[in-house]
Amino acid sequence: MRPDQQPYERETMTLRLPHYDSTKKTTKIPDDALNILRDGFFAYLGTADLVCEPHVTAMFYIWDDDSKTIHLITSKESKKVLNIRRNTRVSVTIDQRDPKSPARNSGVMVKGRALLVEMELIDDELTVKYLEKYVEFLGTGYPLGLRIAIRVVPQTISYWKGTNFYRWKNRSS
Amino acid sequence: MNRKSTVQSRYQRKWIYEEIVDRIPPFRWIPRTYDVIAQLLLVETVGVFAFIYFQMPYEAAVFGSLAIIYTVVWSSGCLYIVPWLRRLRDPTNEIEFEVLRDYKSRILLDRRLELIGGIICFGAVMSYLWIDTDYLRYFLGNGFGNPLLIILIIVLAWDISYRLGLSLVTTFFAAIRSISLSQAARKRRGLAYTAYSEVRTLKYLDLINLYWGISAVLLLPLTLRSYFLLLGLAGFLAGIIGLSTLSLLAMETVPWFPPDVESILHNEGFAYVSVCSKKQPHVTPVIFVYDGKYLYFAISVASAKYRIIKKNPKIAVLVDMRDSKFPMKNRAVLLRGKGMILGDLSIMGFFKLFLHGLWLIRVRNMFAKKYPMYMKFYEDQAQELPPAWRNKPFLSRVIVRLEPEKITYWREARPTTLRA
Repeated sequence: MRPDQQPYERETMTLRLPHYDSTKKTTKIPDDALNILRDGFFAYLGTADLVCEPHVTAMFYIWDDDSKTIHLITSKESKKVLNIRRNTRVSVTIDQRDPKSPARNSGVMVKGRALLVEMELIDDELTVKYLEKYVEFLGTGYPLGLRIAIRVVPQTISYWKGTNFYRWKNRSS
Repeated sequence: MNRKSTVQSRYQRKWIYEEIVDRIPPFRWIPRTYDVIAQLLLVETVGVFAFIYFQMPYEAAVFGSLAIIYTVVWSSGCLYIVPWLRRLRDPTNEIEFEVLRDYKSRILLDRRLELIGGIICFGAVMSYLWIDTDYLRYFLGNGFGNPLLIILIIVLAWDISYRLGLSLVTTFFAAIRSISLSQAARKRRGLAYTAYSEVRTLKYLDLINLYWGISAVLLLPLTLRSYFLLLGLAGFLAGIIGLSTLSLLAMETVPWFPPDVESILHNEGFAYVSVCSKKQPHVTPVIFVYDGKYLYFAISVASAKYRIIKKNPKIAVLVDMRDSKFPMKNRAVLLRGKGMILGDLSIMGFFKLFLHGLWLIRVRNMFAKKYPMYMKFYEDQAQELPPAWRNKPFLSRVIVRLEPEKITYWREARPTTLRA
């Protein structure tokens, strides 16, 4: 398929629907996707255990522009941490939703590997940014010592806006 | 979260029938599961001896055996049903808890109630047999008037009457319980509810109760020779079927989840579906509807979700109320369970279409009601959308039905696990 060709230009009535065709592959993370990652408020973290039973939770997160990683902070005993200890593959979705029209929905899904990092090893600047972002929720007495950070290193970033799908693959790792 | 069962001592938990069975010598020595068969063999042997000794007509043997089979079917039902009843966990809603506690104590503890029905039936049958001697004379032939045979008849009549009466009484109490439970369920607040597995168990027990009552059809040949007994049996069957239907209908109205969870599932617009293939989870937002039992979401057959769900039907769906200003307003429900794809183009899909055709139409109407703007968008711009996005049933869109098995509810980041 030519790069300039619209993915749904061909008018076909076949049963096989173009799926891979309609996803555009990009060499760098789309700017809109980066904006969503920077501005989004809630992230949905999907984890799975060894028998591939999925689990998904809404979480606070912070996007680190320099290292291109997502950090999520949670309590040590939670189900998601348990799952990540067994299976490091995770998927994080951050989206902007529009109740009126599906064409204006946009979002980012990050698939990648998760690392559990103790809070002391997290960059102080990042922690401060995190606490500032969610100041109304966390309050002042937030027990950082009982927490653990999940660092998600992206391998694939899918970005969609309306009917357009873009995918970026991490070639460096 | 859930309390344990409240019926305490072992003695309290027994029905009269079970106690009798436990004490009579031949049954005492054999394991529980063989009780029923031993009972069948014992009574049947006595009956066959009487049949040969007194040279009764063959109908007496056949119909008498049917009556004995009825008592045995009933007893096996009783031995099966009661352990289930004892294992029931108590609901977290106070009113529902009281309803179920009253029900259990009536069924398991109150001896008078279970005897009343039996004694009434027994009295009616015995006085009828006393007045209309022709009936017994026909069946017993030469043996009529023999004291041993009279004892056998009385024992058999009591056996049957007690079971008929107890069937009626339990069905009556089940109907009362179902109606008051569904009334109590309307007054639920917050997270109070009856775990749905318990409601399902109760429904299942009601069904068994119904089969139990209907097994009295085995007595039909025995009653064909007298209007009075036939009328009595017909009345009994009508009562059992009517009360059981009432009870099952009332149980249908009991909601599956506590009101906090229900309100989120009914009012929120977006759900996050997580599926998993080759240990890699995949999370995407979808629009969904909830009908009080199942959660439905529509996906495109070109999507990754469709491919994955076909291989691995385990799904987790998170529905959340989110508000970036007020922390108190953030709540979420996580439903985990197996998904079923409705309306895809395959051989099994066509087969399911016959089963779920009307259902699919209902789900589509629910979508149209909940997301009028979305449906309008799909209609208006049908030509401009890529084929995979068009809202064509079967060709491009299928519906996934999720039956929740595990439920987790968060309120201000504190999870509560609820039993489905």
